[in-house]
Parts: sequence; structure tokens; C-alpha cells
Amino acid sequence: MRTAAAVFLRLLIGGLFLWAGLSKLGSPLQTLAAVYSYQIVLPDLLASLVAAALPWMEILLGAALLAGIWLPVATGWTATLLLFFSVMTAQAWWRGLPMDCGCVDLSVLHPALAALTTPGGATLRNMVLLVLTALLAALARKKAAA
Amino acid sequence: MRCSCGPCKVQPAPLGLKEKPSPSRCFSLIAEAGQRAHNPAKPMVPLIARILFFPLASLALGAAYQAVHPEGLWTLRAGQKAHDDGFERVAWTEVQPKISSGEWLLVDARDEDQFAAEHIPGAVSLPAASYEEMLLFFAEEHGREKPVVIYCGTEDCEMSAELALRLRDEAGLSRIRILEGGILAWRRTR
Repeated sequence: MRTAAAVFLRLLIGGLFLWAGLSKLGSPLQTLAAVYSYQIVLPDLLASLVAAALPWMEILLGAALLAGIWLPVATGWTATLLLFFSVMTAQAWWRGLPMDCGCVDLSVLHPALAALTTPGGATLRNMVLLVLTALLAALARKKAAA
Repeated sequence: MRCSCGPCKVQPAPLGLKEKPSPSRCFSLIAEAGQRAHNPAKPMVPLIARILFFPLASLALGAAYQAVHPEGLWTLRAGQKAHDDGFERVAWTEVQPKISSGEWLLVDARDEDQFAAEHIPGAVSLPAASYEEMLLFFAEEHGREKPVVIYCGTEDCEMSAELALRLRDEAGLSRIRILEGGILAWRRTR
């Protein structure tokens, strides 16, 4: 049961991360625009580095989660990223920034899921994913200890 | 004493031994094997390397990808730094040949009255305040992959960026640039 739950969580979170990373590769300038849209003080070079590296970080983490390799490290980084995303979207929500989160567009699955790309919806989604990642890390740890 | 333990029953070669081990060596081999069974083998990649792998590999792959991507971030040249909206600014000298060859489409974001009074030859009018239907019609007519360059009236006018954002977010255009200096850049070359 635990193994099945861990596999499900790996596929869910890993798939989302892989999808998010691949969707950002096509338009680097849009990714950079999304970084700027959070309106945080960031030097241009740092913003460019974030826009360049972030899609690949998501792809590598997604692939690691899907393949089930280096799980403790992969879940650790995934949780760190999700925490960072949550803080970023929450501050945009709090400041009332009229922005698109730049994250994966789930509305292709169902139109109602478009709400998850608004700052409020994205914050909620990131926090749910953060909890699920913590659960996955705990399951992977128990399995390793067993 | 005759050795009858596990490691000695197998051929020496798989254990990496040149010859059959002595009984005492045999028992020490068993002990080592047992220890390995109870303590999982040391990972081949140290923990610190696994932790650093993700950010470092992401940076390396990201830098390489941006270098080869036709619209990668490193292609932003000096003087064309990304503005807060993330759209690339291009100079008129670069735009002119692309417009002449039909490779890029020039779009005037100002009001229709201003467009009628004066506009850059070859430009099409699409005011920044157009209805969404107009933007969608524009995208259908010219294609979402067609590179477009948007301009407005002055160096600091905001209509270009407004229209660029709307074309990207509402009409799904993906290759949008903004003419640096607006229509003034063209006027200077006349």
C-alpha cells in the first residue's frame, strides 16, 4: 500500500515538474518575463540565470522522481523549490500583482483549472504539492529503513 | 582444517582472488560479506555530489541551451537588455531588412487616428486597446509563430509593451519584439 502510494506520488509530482520544465523551454523570453512579473528586486544577470536554469532544474527533478533515483535528494530539492514558489506566488497574491504565475497551465486538462495559474491559485497548488512531496519523502525514508 | 564455507565453494575468480583462500581468510570473507549484507553498500555517488548535481547541472544545461536557442537569453545584445516585461528590444537597423524581406511583421500599437496620420511603411495597425476578438483575429490571420515587432510613438511609450503582453497572453503569439525608440527610430533614418 505504502509502495503504491509512493509510486503514485512520484508519478504525479515528477510528471508535473517534467511538464512544467518542458513547457518553459520553447520560449526563454516568456520565462524571463514571468520571472520579472513577480516584481522582486533582482539584477538582470540573476534573473536571466534563474530563467535559464529553472526549466532544467524542473526537468531533472521530474526525471529523477519519475525514475525513482536519488529520491531523498530529489524530494529535498523539490520541496525547496515548491517552498520558494509558494513564497513568490504568495507575495504576488498579497501585493495584488496582476500576473500569470508562469507555471504549468493545467487548463488544458480542464478549463476550471485555469484558476490555478493566478497568484492565489498557484500558492494553493504549490502548498498542496509541498505537502505531497513531504509525504513522498517520508514514504521513501520508511521504505529505505525497512 | 578444510574450508567448506560459501566463498570458498565458489571459484576464486569471482571473488577477485588469484587462488583459493586459506580457512582463516575464508571466515574473514564471510564476515565481510555479512557486514555488507547488513550495512547497505556505500553509495557510488557521495551525498554532497548528489545534492550539488541538480543546481549545477541545471545551470550548465540552461546556459548551453540558451546559447543554441535562436531566441535564447544570451542573444540579447548590449543595448537590448531585457526590460521588466521580458520582451526583446530591437533596433530599427535590424528590423528594417527583416520587414523588407517579409520575415517579420511590423505592428503599430497606437490609435488608428495616429496610424492614419503617419506610420512606418509596411506596418499594420493594431491599437493596444483593441478588443480581444481583434487580437485573436490578428493571430489567426498572421499565425501565432510569425515574428512580430511592435512600435508606438516615443522612446518611453507603453503601448508597445501593453500590446505585446496582450498578444502573448490573450492571443498566444510567441515571438514578439519591440522596436527600440518607437516610430522616432524610423523617423531619424528618413
